[in-house]
Amino acid sequence: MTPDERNAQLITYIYGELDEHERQEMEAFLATNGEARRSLEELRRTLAVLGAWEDETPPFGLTFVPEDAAAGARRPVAWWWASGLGVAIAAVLVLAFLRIDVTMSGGTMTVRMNWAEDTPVTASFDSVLTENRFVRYQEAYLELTQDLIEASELRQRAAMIEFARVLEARREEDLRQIGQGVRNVGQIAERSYLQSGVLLTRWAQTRPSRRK
Amino acid sequence: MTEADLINAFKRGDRGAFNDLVRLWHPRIYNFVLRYAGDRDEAADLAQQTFIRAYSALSKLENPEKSSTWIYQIALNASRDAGRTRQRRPTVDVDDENIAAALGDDVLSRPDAVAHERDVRDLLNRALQTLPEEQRVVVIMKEYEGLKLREIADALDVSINTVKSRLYRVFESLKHLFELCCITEEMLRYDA
Repeated sequence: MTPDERNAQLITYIYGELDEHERQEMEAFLATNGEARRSLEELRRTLAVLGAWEDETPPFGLTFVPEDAAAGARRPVAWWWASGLGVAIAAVLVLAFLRIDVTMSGGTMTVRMNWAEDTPVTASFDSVLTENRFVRYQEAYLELTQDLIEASELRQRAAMIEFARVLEARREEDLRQIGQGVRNVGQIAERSYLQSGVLLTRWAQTRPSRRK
Repeated sequence: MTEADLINAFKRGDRGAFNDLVRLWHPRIYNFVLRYAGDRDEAADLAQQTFIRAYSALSKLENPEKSSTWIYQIALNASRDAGRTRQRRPTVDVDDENIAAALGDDVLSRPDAVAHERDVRDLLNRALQTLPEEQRVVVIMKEYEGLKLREIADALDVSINTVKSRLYRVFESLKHLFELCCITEEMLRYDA
């Protein structure tokens, strides 16, 4: 056995892929060959270091597949598949208008609303999407966005009208009270003037004449 | 359902079966391309590319029993194609100067401290990136993905002896690199 062949056999042995006969031969060889044993031990140490890099959890992501590739499939996509994604899109849409915390893990989206922190809403959906379907969802998304914007504008307009009505009523009330106040001041002034005239007349009548 | 069952279901028109296949494949393929490319964002993109290609080609897969090597072939091709469209990542020969440059001088001067400061993933990732691509692929497929030597040979379309000799060269290179940097299993396990 050449050195290269021996090394190749060591690799096969360490991964347990030798057949029974080859394994027995290799173990007999290792029992009598110190250099081969050292090589095997070094291999094991190297593999142990490599093994320290453990698998990571992949990030969640949608996979967009071309529609024409999907054409080979005879049955249409299940309704729940689309509706599940629709729920997810609708949930995302709401985020544009409300301050909501969203986390996504393993195909499950968790929505936590700021007014209901103890009751997160979850929606699961699949990760494969055809391009045409994605476009349709985008269109639906835009329509829903537009509807929400229009609804928001209507609400704002109604609120402005109500505000203006309240403001006008308040202004009229203020004017009425000001008018009433002015009238009260006038009446008081008139009474004071009349009283002053009466007092002046009395004073004039009781005052001794200097000409006498 | 097994992988082959899901593939057969997809070929019969059950497109939803592909969702289940993606769930099965995603962790494996993501980690495969992560170790190949060495970058998380790129790995996420490459995994997506792999599934897009798989979706297009799945109906033509003649032997669903070999899907485990087939999906790795697709992932590898996607990774190689992506590599061609950007500046190729330089590989270095495993000599002392290049190792120092690739791993950073601090690893050589303070291996324990640096290994404990750094992520194990980062250290081993950089070690793998020093390997020539053909060697990096076989060690990832064997050591991390657990493919049989025959499966690797089929996936790479090379002989099984070529796979074995590449693996042996990989381990020789890595053994030298780990010794030079005083990287041991105990040190990394402690860090992990």
